[in-house]
Amino acid sequence: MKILIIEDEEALARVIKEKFDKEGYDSVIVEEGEEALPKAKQFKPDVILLDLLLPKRNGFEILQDLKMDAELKTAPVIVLSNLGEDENIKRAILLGAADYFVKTQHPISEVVEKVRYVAERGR
Amino acid sequence: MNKRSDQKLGKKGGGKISRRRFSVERMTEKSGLGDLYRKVFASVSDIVVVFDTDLKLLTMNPAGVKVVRSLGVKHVSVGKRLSEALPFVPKATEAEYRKLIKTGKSSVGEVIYRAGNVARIGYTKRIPIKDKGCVIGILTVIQNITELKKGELALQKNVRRFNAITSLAREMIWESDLPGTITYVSSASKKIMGYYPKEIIGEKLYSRLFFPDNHEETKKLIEGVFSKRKEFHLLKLSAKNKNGKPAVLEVNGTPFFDEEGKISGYIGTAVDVTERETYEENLKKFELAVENASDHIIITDPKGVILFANKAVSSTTGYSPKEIIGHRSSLWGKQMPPEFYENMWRKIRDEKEVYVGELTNKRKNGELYIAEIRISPVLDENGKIRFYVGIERDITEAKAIDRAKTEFVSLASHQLRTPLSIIDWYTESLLSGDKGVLTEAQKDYIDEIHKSNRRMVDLVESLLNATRIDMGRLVISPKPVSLPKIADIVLSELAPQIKEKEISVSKIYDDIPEIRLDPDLTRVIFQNLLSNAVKYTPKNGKISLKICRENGNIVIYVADTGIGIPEKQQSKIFDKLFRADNARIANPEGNGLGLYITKAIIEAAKGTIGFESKEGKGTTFVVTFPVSRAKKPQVKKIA
Repeated sequence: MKILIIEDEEALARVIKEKFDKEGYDSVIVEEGEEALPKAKQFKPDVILLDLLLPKRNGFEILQDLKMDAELKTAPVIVLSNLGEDENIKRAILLGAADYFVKTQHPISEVVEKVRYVAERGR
Repeated sequence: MNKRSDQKLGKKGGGKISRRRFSVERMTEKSGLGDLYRKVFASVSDIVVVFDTDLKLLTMNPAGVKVVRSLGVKHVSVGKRLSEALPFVPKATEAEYRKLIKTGKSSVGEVIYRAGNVARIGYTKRIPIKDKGCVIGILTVIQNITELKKGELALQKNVRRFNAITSLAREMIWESDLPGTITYVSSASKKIMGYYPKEIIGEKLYSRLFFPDNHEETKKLIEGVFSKRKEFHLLKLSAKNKNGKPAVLEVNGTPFFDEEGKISGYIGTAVDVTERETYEENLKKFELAVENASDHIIITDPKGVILFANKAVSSTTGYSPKEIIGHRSSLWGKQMPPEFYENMWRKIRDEKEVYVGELTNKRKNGELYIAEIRISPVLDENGKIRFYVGIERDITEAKAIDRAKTEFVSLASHQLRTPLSIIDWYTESLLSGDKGVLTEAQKDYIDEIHKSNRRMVDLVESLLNATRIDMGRLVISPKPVSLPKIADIVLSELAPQIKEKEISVSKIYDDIPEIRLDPDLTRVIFQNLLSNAVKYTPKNGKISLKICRENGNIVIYVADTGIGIPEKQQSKIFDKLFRADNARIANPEGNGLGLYITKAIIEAAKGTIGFESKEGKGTTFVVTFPVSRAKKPQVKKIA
């Protein structure tokens, strides 16, 4: 399974990737918003993990672009963010996110669980 | 005896006197005043007539003869009977005479008689003439009181006019002599002073009509004015009315003269201006308050033309009062789309209701600012708009601060959470052995780090919730939720602690409908109440959770056998950051925000929260939600 991790906080991205490596998944990290779409096109992930607060490009915009792209729109996007307000959650879901996690409110094991669930459902 | 009938009485009288006349003559001769009487008889303007007891005319004076002649009777026939000699006299009069002769009594009264073509009013006296106790004749005198009567009527009319006007007038009319005794006061005294005129007339001006401590002062004042012998105006006096209440009078007066033209006193008016004084004082207060208010206040006519603008208007808009008065508030407006103003006018002019709103305005220097406005139409007794009162408050700064706060909360939440997530996930990873097996000691240490970090995460969550509550930004998304379901989830999360402390948990869930609440916030309610129950209940304690229906409401009971809340501190338990003393000892890590947030969430959902607690015995929290929030009961499928 291929997972694209779009997260600017290096430490967080790293620990997530290591968890996925352990599970035997193939994961790639993108730290800059502008790289997100080209990398996604190239990598063709099964699941995308997206942080909302990114430098230079807005996470919502990236989400919108992903969902509008013919190739990429089928990959479920799980939003992982520390912006916990309802407006953000609502907006993400309306823009097509499959789910929304507030990082501090969930152990990493749950995140892994969710990814597995979503990916398997997709298949 | 010489009976002389048809004696002509000329103007001078005289001629041969009959025996009867002789008796009259004789009487006057007797007294010696005959000449005098004859002169009086001849010259007086009253009509004088004498009859004998047979009502035969004995004599009539020249004034009488004149009248008789004017009625067409050429000769006055002395010796002829009344009805013959004076045919114009009514029969009733004749009867009257006969009566008087009989009774010997006199009578007076008013008569109407004619003289020439004119009717006159006369005052008549009919006096029987007696000689040695016997009536020998009757004397009639008629005084012409026509002019007198006219004068009387005119006077009465004037008095009526005067009384009518004085009773109508708000002003009390008063008259006083020079020493200061009230000689007249109009009926308005009742209205103004509470006294009827008769209660005041005769009183001294400065007496019980004034407060005792005012007497000397008032006396001096009045005496001073009177001594000037001139007109005076607008003298203000503080009087005391019958009820003992003060009455401020505004008095005008002018000297009053007697018939000789000497000053006899003063006469004038007095108006009660107490109300006006208070009114003016209050008006001044209001004027000052409005003028100096920090909010910008304008008053306009029904068309929106500004009549008044307080100081603050110049400081917000930058325009001077001169530039503003006579113009419209569009002077610093016109920044919003036309529909905005149409809508505003519709509300205040057509619906005649208060308009509250926010808009962008422009100062004289071109600077845009955001204002909160409130425009109230002021209606007259007929419901027509008389004025508009507009209040404006510059909220640009407040709005900017609010925006900054919101952004700060958002940013802070993200910035605080990120490092906490990192610690959280890394410690979790280490504890799951992702980087190798840990020694017991290492596991122990990392566990402490993890636990401590979780505390920080909770604190950040609580602080952010509390801030949102304070800022009124708690966003609620109600959905139909199953309370038992959420309760069970929370209980399962607390399972490890419950197991460790060997606490027994009993659950009673009635068959209740789903209820419209925000699921996340409902979760917070259960988390707070149940985790508190677990935290503050000692080992082997008991917790019971009951969700049921009561009196049409849905009620949640969370009871424990824990440390309870001390009675003295129970009233503060929902206060932000408050921690009861025993709770502080049992659980030093608590942040004091849990119940504050829980209460806010429950109240935002129109529910209520209460509790009963005894220190050392336990606590029961009761949360009630009105059932209007409940959806129709769902049919449960039994698998």
